[in-house]
Order: sequence, then C-alpha cells, then structure tokens
Amino acid sequence: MISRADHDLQYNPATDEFVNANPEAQSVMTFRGGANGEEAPIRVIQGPHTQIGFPNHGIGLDNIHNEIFIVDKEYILVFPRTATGDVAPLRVIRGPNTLLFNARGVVVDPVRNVLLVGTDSGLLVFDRTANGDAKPRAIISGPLSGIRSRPPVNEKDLTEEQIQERRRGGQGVAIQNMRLSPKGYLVSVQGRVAVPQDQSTVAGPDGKGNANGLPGGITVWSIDDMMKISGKGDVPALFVLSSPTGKMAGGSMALNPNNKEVILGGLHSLEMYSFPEIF
Amino acid sequence: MLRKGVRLKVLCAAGILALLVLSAAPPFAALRGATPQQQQAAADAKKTVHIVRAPLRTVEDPNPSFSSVAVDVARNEIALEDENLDQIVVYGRLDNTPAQAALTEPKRVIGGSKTKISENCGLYIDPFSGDIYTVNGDTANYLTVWSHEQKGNSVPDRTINTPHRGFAVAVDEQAKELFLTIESPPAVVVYPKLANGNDVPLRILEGDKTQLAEVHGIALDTKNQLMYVVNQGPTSSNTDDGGWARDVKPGSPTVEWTPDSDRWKYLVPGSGKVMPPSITVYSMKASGDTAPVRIIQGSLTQLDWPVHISLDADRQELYVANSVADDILVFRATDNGNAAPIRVLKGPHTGIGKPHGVFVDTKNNELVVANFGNHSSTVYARDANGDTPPLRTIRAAPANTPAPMFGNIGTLSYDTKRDQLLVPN
Repeated sequence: MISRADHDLQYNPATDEFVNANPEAQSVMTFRGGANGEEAPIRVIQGPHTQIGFPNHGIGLDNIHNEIFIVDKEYILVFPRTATGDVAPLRVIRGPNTLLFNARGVVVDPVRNVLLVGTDSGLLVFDRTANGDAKPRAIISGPLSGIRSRPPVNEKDLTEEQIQERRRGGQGVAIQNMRLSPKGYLVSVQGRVAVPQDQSTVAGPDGKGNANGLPGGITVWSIDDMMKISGKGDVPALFVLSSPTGKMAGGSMALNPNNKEVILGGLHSLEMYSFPEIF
Repeated sequence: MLRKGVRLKVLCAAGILALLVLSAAPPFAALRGATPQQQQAAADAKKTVHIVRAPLRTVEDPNPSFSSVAVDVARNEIALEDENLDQIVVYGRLDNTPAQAALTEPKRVIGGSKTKISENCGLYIDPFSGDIYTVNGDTANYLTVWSHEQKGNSVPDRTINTPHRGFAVAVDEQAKELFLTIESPPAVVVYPKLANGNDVPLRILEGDKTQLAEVHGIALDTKNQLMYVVNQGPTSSNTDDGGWARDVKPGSPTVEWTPDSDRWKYLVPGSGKVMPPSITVYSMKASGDTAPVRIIQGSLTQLDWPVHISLDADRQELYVANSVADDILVFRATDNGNAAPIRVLKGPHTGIGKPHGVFVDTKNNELVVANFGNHSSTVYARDANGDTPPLRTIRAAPANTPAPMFGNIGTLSYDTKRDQLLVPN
C-alpha cells in the first residue's frame, strides 16, 4: 500500500510505530515499528469522509494530545492519532485567513501548544488547536530566517523579469521537510541565511545550486524566538550547517538523537552530519 | 524512488558502516563547531552561527543500477538504463562477465550534464535506425531521443516535453506513434513518433473507467492492435476537468503541461484507493476514459509491484518484471481475470534481483532481464522456467556488491528503538 512520491514518513518512538502518507491513494498509514516485508498497516485513514487530497509532505504527530495533523497543500486535517478507516477529521484549518498556500512541512509542538507549517506564505505559526479559517499567530520570513515568502499571484500581472525571478525562487527558500529537535529547535534542510563571502560557495541542498544561487544547508531556528513574533516578522536562524564541499544531499531529513546526528537524503545518497549543538 | 514504485528500505545504522565512504577533510579552515560561548554570543547578538562541517558518513552506490532494458537485435547490442548514475550504458549482446572479473565495461555510455538524462526508467530502441528513446522519471519532465552513434556527454537529438512522472515508452512502427505511460495521475499519452519539444499528443487514455492505477510498463501488439499496460494499484480520481487532456487546447499545435506543483488541484479529495496490481488491455487506438477490454488481476496472478512488460508477439506471451517477488512472470497474452502465470522464472540460481526491466528477443530466442537490485543484466533462454541459471550475465560491479537501490529519497525517518533508518524511495 506504499506508493511513489512519499514525502513524509515519521517514526513515533512513543508508540513504536511509523506513519506514512500516500499521496497516490490519498491515505495515511500506520505500521508497527518493526514491520517487515509485505506487512499490512495496522491503521489506514482513507476515504471520502477524510477529505484527504494530496498528503505528500506533511505529517505532524502529537503524542500528548493524541492527534495527527495532515498537511494538504491548502488545508490541514486533524484526526485522532489512532483514527482508522473513512473517518471525518476533528478539525480542518482552511480558508483565506490561514495563508495556507502550498503548505508542506509541519511540526506540532505540544509543549508550546503551537503548530508550525512551511508554506509559500512563509513559516506559519498557529495555535495548536486552531480550527476553521484561523489566522496564524505569526508569519516568519525574510533575510534573517532565510525563509521565503512567495504568496500566489496571477503571473499575468507581473513583468517577465518578475516572473523569472519568482520561478527562480526569489529570496530565501521554502520550508519543506521539518523536524523538532529535543531542545525545542525547528530544523529544516532548506533554510538559508546570509553567509560570509568566503563561505558562499555552498550549493543548494540538492548539490546543484539553489534556485537563486544562494547558500543552503541544515538550518535551525528557536521556536521560542518565533513565539515572540505577532503577525509578520523575521527571526534569525540559530545555526546553519553547510558542507565544505559545497554540496549536500537533498531535501529529506531525519534526526538521530542517539548519535546526535542529522541525516540528509537526496538523489541516490544519504549523508550523516554530526550536529550536537541541537540535541 | 526505487524507480518508480516506491518501496521502503530499512537500513540498520550499524550495518551501514560496511557501505560508508568517509568524506575527505574540509579543504579550508572554517568554523568546525560552535562552542557554548559562541552560541551564547550569537544568541545575544541575534546572529546566526555558521558551521561548515563535512558529513561523518555518506551512503551511496557508485555502481550502475539497471531499471530498463532493450535489445538492438540488428546491431547485436543490449542497452540498459542506469538510473543510479543517470546514464544509458550499451553492451555487446553476447557480453558475459567472467566469474573472476570485477565487471564488464560497456561499449559506450550516454551520460553527463548535457544529456538531460535523470532518473531514467523507460527505454525503447528503434529496430531500424537504432535510435534510443529514454524516459526521464520524477525529476525531469521529458523524453530524450538519441541516434545510434551518440555517446558521452552530448546533447540529445530530440527532447519531447511530457507530463510529470513519465515511466515507459513503446512505439508502433507501422503507425509511427509513440506511447508514453504516466504513473500518476495515471495515463497513456500517444504522440507522433517524431514529436519534438512541446508538440501536442495525438490522444490520451485516462480516467476512472480505464482502471489505470500508478501505471508502469507498456507493450504493444501491432498485429492484433492491442496495448498492454502494467498497473501497481494506488490511484485517485481526477476532477471532471482534471485529466492531462485539460492541458491540450483545441487547435493548438503545442501543449504546456500542468506542472507537478499544481496537479493536486485536479484530484478529488477522498477518492483514493489501492487496487490489486494488474495488466489492463486496450485497443491501441483507445482514447479518453475508455474501459479495458480485459484485465489480468487477482491473487493467482502473483503480480506484486510489477514494473516493465514485454510481449512475445509470435507466441502471444507476456513477460512481466515482478519486482518485489524477485521473479519474471509469463502470461498468455489472451489471459483474462485472475489467471495464474504459465511460467515463473524465480529462484537463487536465476541471478534475478529486484527485476525492473524485461525484453523478449524473438530473433535470438532469448529473454533479457535488467536487475535493479544487483547491478546486473541476465540473459535466459526464451522459455526458461523455474530456478534456471542465466545463459549469460553482464555485471556492472563486482559480484555480490550490495545495492542500496536509492532513488530520489523524498523523506527519511530514524527508528530510535532499532537504530535503523527508514528510507522510502
């Protein structure tokens, strides 16, 4: 039941399960932690009542409140963590006030009671229990964070130069894969901040150069810093870790707290970076 | 992806060590770590701490992994898609790697940044000209065409811009039509054989009635005018105006395909399902939302992540590379419903490992397999059955070299309990 185009898979150490989103079959599957071979999932959320459309990037797990968050491009579905079958969501965050444009990565911070979502509007911070057409409490983007804000526009209203700039990605990059570090830091592989000139040879995380030729790397922000923002704002990243070769593996990421490592995955390769500062 | 069906790989973190390539030391002085004092200073000043640090370990495969195969019977060559290194490698048809040899060098290679080859997964050779057609999957939305003489890091003769997630290609040489499968949203797009650039297709087969579902291989029976399509099973419905055909404007000679970033807008939420894998059969002229004339599907078929398919038109037999089960299934082309294969090539002596490509060479009475899981292509008698050793093996790496089979790794997770990495591809 696993298909191509999986862009989020999360191991849940609290329950010894892993959760996988299947965008082709519009489902979210939970397997036991030691699943092997052609083993069926123990739970599948799928069907017309679920409203799942294209869950290809974001799954957020909240073990304290027993909920699972599924990002679906322009809305977020919240289910009981143990939901299975064709069930309706508990909550749906959707509407023009949400600024959920091309939403991808998601992290639930049950301690600070916030939901962090990577979108084309920037990094959105919602109250954890947000519902309906809720406004985010903060919208983070700008040169300090390196997070891109690129709300949707009608390209007919832009000049050719503006269209090309937009397609190159503009300033900063979008947040896609996100993880929460044990220290309460938000970690992503696609962040970018200004880097000293002598270190500016770093390519994008795909090893082929960022869309705008700017440096990239594993970027870490403090959620506490983000909590201080109300409305639109920018917060500096705490750390940017880049590779001396100028290339890093692609946009997928996992944290290994046992060894204090960040693991990056990309086209045909995995890389393991020591990053004790965030564990 | 483990092209192009995705499979979950579990890497034991300790076991990885055998594959590791330790990175070189950083070439220039830089901030190798952040001391607590530096961290505090940065926090106080609201500045970012920049760390330049080489990876501790890298896991990658420096060897080819074969995702598709075609035989040029006129020139006695075997062409293989090497999806791991983004290249096409061509061997002599009778090449056979000696047991003691590390590998066999190809006659020629097409690969490099100029080639635009990326995540290549589908292959066709023009039996007359020797031109090679190769499909880029996932990371690049085009199909490239190469004359027989081309090699190295060169520019393709032609590039056809296609919908995202192309997988397999077949050509009707009589009608001069090129058939391209699209994994998802599932479709078969038919172009003029000599299409180029943004040329508009002749017709598109797609829609719920087709029962197409994560489409992979395709084979054509030009004598009986039938098309055989391999489906892995997961699928969801397009909105009424949401098929690929929405991009084809009446009267326009060109088409701009909806980018993948926008395709989700045309899916019906909650319509997703996982159907059993199948081979669906249509008229070669089928278009639009047309039901198949037959479906080979069910538990007796043993289909399990089927990838490419090849038709023996003389004997009316279908050969399927059945990836997860590590076997080649052979069906009668006339089979229907829950039909058992008439032969299964499978077992430890076959040398088959995660087969993705299959080609029936009716001229030389042979069956050629591209093994994604063991860096090899294996050749058998056309009617081989059971645990039969190959007649010949082309190895692109030393025997028993592990193959991580990485594709485009879209996500990762670490299992803290088992010290394992979960790697969908």
